[in-house]
Amino acid sequence: MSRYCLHLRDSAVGGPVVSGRLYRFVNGVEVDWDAQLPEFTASTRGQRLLVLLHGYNVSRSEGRASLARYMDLLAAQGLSDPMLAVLWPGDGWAKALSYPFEGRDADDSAEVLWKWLSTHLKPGTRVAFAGHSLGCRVAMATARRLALAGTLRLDRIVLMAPAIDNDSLGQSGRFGYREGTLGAERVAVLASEQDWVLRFAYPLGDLTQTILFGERWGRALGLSGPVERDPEVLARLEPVPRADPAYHVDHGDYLGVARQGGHTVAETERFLAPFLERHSQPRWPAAG
Amino acid sequence: MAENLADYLGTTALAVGALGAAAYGVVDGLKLVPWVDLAGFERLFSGRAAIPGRAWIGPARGTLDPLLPALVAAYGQDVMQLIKAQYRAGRSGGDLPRTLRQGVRIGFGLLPAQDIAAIAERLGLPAGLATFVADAFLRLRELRPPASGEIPRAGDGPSDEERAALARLENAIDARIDAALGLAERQYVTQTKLLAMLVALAIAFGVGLHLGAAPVVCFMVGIAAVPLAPVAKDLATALQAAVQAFRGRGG
Repeated sequence: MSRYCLHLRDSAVGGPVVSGRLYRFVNGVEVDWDAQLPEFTASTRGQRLLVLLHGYNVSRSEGRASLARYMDLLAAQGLSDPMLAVLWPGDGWAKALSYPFEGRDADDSAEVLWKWLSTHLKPGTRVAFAGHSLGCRVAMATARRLALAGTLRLDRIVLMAPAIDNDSLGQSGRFGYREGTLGAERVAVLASEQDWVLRFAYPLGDLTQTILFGERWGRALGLSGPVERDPEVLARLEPVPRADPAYHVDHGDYLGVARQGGHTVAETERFLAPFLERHSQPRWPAAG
Repeated sequence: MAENLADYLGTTALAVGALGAAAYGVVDGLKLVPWVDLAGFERLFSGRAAIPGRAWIGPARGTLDPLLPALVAAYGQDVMQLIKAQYRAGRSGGDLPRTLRQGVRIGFGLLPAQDIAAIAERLGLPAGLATFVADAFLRLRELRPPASGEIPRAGDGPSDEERAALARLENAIDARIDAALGLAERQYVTQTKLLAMLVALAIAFGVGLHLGAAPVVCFMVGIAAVPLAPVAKDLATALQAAVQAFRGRGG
């Protein structure tokens, strides 16, 4: 199984969104693979590429470590697709104070990621996404562009604790992802009411973004789950119950590894692998 | 007289609104002139800092002037042409915000310490802090990033003071870019409306005096045309409905 890492950043913390440099994980070590881009294109041709995205306030080394670990967990669940971890600059020295500005970095990263995928994947290659927190904004914004361009096929999308509005999957326009949702084969949302980051911090950050940049203000998709009425959109959504309150699934538990190791705290990989492999009725253990 | 009042008022509103729409059309055509098309640009970069900038009456401060060296480092000497082109193509709704935001960050990765300090100082950081933040920026820039799985050495990361200073600079840059784009957008709309109003007045006087209308009427029509243009149809309908209702009550 091929595991790659795409750096859309050139700084350890914050910094610009750059045009993308490819690395490959070889025996757990990250090797510069930019000169071997044709190999990447060839090895993903006709395959499904799973694109993994970390969330907000994650440094380069933290993002790389957590996504590499998550790739191992998915492989242990039997997923054999080529995988691409994407590191994007969704953090800053100002930590939480930088949140209102990171939405635009997510959008900028999506623009660059879309161009990179369109350039380095052969038409017909299927692209699946798994994102966490604000990385879901990158995932859905990229999916929207891919759907509109139509050269690459969108596969399945998993949004873990998505830090986007709970009605945005069916909304069109600048801050909606309707085209991405309808372009995907299926979209699954993993949400938890015990997510304190999305419960308390998200509304504040979202309000600031609304005031500064005219974005829409709403509740987080990763807290309430999708709020959709359009049958066309609903037909694309995988019915996944929210996490059972008894599991106390918090924001960091989706990618964070449990103390005893071997799985994430929220056991998300146990849902992801069967969902991506099109098993009938994949179950998220944390949903009870 | 009252019979025709509703039609008369409605037709007047529609006609004045149409004059406003025509004035906007003329202004759109005038955008062939670069100075017209770049309305508001002086709020991003002043005429002094950006050669060639955009001349404007009064002391308009280019909010992004301090960031110009970083943008030149990122995009080269012709950066102003690039920025102007993107400003024309969509202002804050297009690629310009991304070009500015990412360009400044890329530029900061290329500039020497004294230039970073000078920019930080012009952004409002105290002189001592500006030097401190520039040194911190350079020190962290030149660190070899840890390989995957490698534990960073103690002392490699930023101190709390460096982190706070870098955060302050980062926020100052982001906030300034957003503020400048907002100011430029507002200025663009205002200047465009002002120009459309002048065009509407010229047409109103030109046509009105030719038809023998009083100058005061020409002036009123010209002044009202631009604000009325977007709502002329609704206003005409509302006026007709109001007059009909008034007539109905009168019996």
